[in-house]
Amino acid sequence: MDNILEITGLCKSYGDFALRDVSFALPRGYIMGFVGENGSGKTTTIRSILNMAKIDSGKISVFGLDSVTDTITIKERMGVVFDSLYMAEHLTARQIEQQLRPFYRNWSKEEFLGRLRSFGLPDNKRVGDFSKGMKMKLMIAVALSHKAELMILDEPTSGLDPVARDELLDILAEYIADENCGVLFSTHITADVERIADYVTILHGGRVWYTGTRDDLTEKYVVIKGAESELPAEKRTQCIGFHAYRNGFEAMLPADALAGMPSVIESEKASIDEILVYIAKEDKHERHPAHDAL
Amino acid sequence: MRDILHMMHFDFVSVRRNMLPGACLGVAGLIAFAYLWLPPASLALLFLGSLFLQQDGSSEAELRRMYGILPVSRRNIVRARFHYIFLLNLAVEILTSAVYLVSLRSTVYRHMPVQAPELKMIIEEMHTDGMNPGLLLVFVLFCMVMIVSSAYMETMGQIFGRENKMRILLITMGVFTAAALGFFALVNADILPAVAPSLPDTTAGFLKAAVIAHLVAWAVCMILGELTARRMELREL
Repeated sequence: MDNILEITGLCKSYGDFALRDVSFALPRGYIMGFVGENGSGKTTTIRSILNMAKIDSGKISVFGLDSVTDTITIKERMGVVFDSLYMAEHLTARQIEQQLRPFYRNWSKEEFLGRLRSFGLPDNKRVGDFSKGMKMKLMIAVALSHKAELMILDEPTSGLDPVARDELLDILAEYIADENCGVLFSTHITADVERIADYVTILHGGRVWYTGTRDDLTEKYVVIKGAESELPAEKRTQCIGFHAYRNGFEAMLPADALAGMPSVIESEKASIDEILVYIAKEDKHERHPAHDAL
Repeated sequence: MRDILHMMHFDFVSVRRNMLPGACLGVAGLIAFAYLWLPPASLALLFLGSLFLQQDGSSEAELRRMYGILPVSRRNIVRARFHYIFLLNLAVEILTSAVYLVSLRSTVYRHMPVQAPELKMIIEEMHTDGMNPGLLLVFVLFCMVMIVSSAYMETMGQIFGRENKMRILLITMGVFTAAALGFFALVNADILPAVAPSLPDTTAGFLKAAVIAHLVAWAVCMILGELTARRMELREL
């Protein structure tokens, strides 16, 4: 499969925080949800892809090109959406178009103005006065106007109301209909990932905890509940984020470890949200990460 | 070079919306003042470049992320800023020179309503005396100082943060003003008698001095730009 983005063994440290051996790949034509709690390293990874952060070791390849040596070529083919507007807020959309147009060979003014119209964005109003949803759409309009093949979005839906979030996800779904493109979509709103992502990468504590298809992830883990006394000891060691209550316990377990589980223990598929919560609980209990145990 | 031109255009578009209306008003006011009263008033236009540079309108955070996204090397982004500074100051100098020269030849001031006779005489002299060699020399030196100090401030601003620009500007202006005043004090006190005869007093001499001053200013600007670019390239955005 042709990977539009490939990260291998990425390491980057900042004092007390470090990305350690981060590796994942995004095939062309798909959307990857990039999830993890705050401070897990999502933004640092994105900054490394954009060559805004200097990596300590590892390799990042975008469109088959090296992210450090070929960064200019890569950026001409890439669109970026941050959680807040990166453009000069005192300018209008038209003036931003004038600023950015010369940098991109594939820039289309007609496409940009058409996108503004279809997204309902005024072209003569200060972009600083736009709502958060409008600012997101403006950044997407810029990315689409130079025919970006890879779109990287860093927490684009945080702070958006449900209607704006829904619109944004529809735009991404429409964008990815062209199978030549790819989307890396960082968020901690897992409902968005469950709705549009084909692939998921979970980052936890600067490491990749899971990377693969969304369907595999949701099939891979179950949440179990029941009386603690009914839980076999060997199963207990495989539990992730085990939490005992007065009347029982709950934990996450790899689905393939369900075999031999007493029928009195209830189990159901874990959602991505639950997976993130149990990973965090596991840390609080100072146990080994799940993938180490497996 | 293409990238540098694009970045200069980027900087200009960024500042144009904030500054152009006010600048046009200021220029019109100064032109009127220079034509109707004192031609040297047009020299105040020289500060226009500094005002443009101070009123960028974009925040540090916006620029850092924008620079991370644009398909331009960090080095060229910084270099472009120094080319922009030089050309902006040069454009302002050309505008100032044009306004000054035209105001010297202007006779509009004669149609001014009621003026005190003494004042009328002073204005008449200002317009008919032609170019003052001392003033022209100050003009040439000041242009050079403006370019060099703008480039120096940009270097400081990039390295230490744009929020410190006003402090850097004040320090720089103070240093250069003190240096210029000191130089003229030495000349006036005949401490540097050898210097005075060699100062230009013809149009050709002033043009030559202006060209040399600008070449020096351009070289300083480019050197500072290169040093800053090398330093900033090592930094993360």
